[in-house]
Amino acid sequence: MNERRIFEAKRDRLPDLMAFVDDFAQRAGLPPKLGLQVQLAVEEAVVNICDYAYLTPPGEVDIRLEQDGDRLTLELRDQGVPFDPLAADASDRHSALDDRKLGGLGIFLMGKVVDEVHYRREDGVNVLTMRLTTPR
Amino acid sequence: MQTTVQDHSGITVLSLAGRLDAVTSPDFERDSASYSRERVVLDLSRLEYVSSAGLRIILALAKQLKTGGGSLSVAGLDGIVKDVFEMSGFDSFLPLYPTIDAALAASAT
Repeated sequence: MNERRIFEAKRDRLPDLMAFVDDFAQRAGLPPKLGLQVQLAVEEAVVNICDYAYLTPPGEVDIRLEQDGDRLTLELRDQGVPFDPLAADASDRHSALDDRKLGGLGIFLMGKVVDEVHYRREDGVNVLTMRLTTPR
Repeated sequence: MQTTVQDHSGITVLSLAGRLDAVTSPDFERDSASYSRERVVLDLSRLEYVSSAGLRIILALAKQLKTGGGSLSVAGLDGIVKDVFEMSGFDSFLPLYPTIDAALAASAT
């Protein structure tokens, strides 16, 4: 199963975008918790694109969701400034309350809920690919 | 996302239901902005989903309560919400309780 949709990369579009992801998860028959993990990975990646990708927002985010047997692939493309989220600071998740900063956590969570994350820059496009395995 | 407020003998219980994400977290930010001196228990047993945008507001609430002399604890974590709390290390600075009763008992002392 393959789904693809292009959204404006702005936070106002998130409700529709999350509905698109949820719809995919349901039709793919994912267990509820895995469906929520997929939503979390996509939300964090998309919020990052909305906030940082485009110097003159809004641009677009191209979302491709694929189920092939027990493999799920989530691919997000944007034409914003080159940005490798995997190179970003992994945030300070073990510091005390007073020292906690309010950034970096989203990308960290994104990486934790999927099995693999890859980033590449291809013909002026940021391509973020995430993979998960579904239980049989 | 729905926030319900209840008073339990001077302890404020904020119960969240639904999704606390980049879409709904501004609502919770508004609902939680006025607390500073209270002992607050956050009941998340009916929360289905949380993302970093939601954690950010919970962290801001914890900080504002600490500054104001209040306190924050969290009860009823389950499913992906529990996973997200643990992955992000929020269990390292917020007291977590399995049930609302356990959180109330601990906050009352």
